[in-house]
Amino acid sequence: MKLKKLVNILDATVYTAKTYKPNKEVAFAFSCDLMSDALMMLRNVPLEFCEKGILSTGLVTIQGVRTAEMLDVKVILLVRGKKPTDQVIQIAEEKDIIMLGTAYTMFSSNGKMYEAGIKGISEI
Amino acid sequence: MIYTFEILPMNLEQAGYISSFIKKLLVDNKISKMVIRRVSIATYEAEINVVIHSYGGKCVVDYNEKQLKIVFSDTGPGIKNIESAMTEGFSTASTYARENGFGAGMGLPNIRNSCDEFDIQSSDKGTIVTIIFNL
Repeated sequence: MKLKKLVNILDATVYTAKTYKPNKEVAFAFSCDLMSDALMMLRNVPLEFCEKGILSTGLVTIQGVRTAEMLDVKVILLVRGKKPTDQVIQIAEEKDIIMLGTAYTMFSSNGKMYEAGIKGISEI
Repeated sequence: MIYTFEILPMNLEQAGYISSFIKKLLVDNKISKMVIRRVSIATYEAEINVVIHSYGGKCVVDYNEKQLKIVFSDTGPGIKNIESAMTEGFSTASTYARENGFGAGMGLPNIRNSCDEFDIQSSDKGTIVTIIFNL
């Protein structure tokens, strides 16, 4: 799926104008608020999962960006209307990470993504 | 090549800087992506541990084309029970750490499971975590 379609489905805000690529392919997602969960669960997934993956989280600090960087996940989706600071946006752009935000809860945004064909670890 | 870094306590804004440096070093040297991922996970978790649990410390990175050895050492307060700390889900992390997405009790097990060799020594004078990756 093109990222622009996901933005439309989630009525999402694009926070990183410099790194946003509307035609980037996305196919997978992982959701958590504790970054250790992402670091543990994504340790052994295929490279493609992270390259085409979305980290969906309510964590709006630099550590969310760092975690995505370490895992080579290129898209962060902030849920529940969380808004990043200018500093967080700047670091995301420096690391070539796309940061989106949606007002939907994690549950609802995940449901919409799944319905649209985005897969999780359990489906690969 | 040997690189040395200082790690400041409770400075989560800086946390990840060393891991980012190591990752770039490995990318520049064309190490496989799966190895880089394991290294990144382990070093980031270890760096976070020093930031959120210790009075501060340092990280020494020893890189050659066959092996990457990274030693994280801090100045206390130490880990009272290493066996408990190595158990998934066991955590003594602060609210501050949890608010920043860490402190789930997965750090040390995740580090151990990501590297090829792992060693931990701890006393009230400090903790030393050594991780080695075969490249």
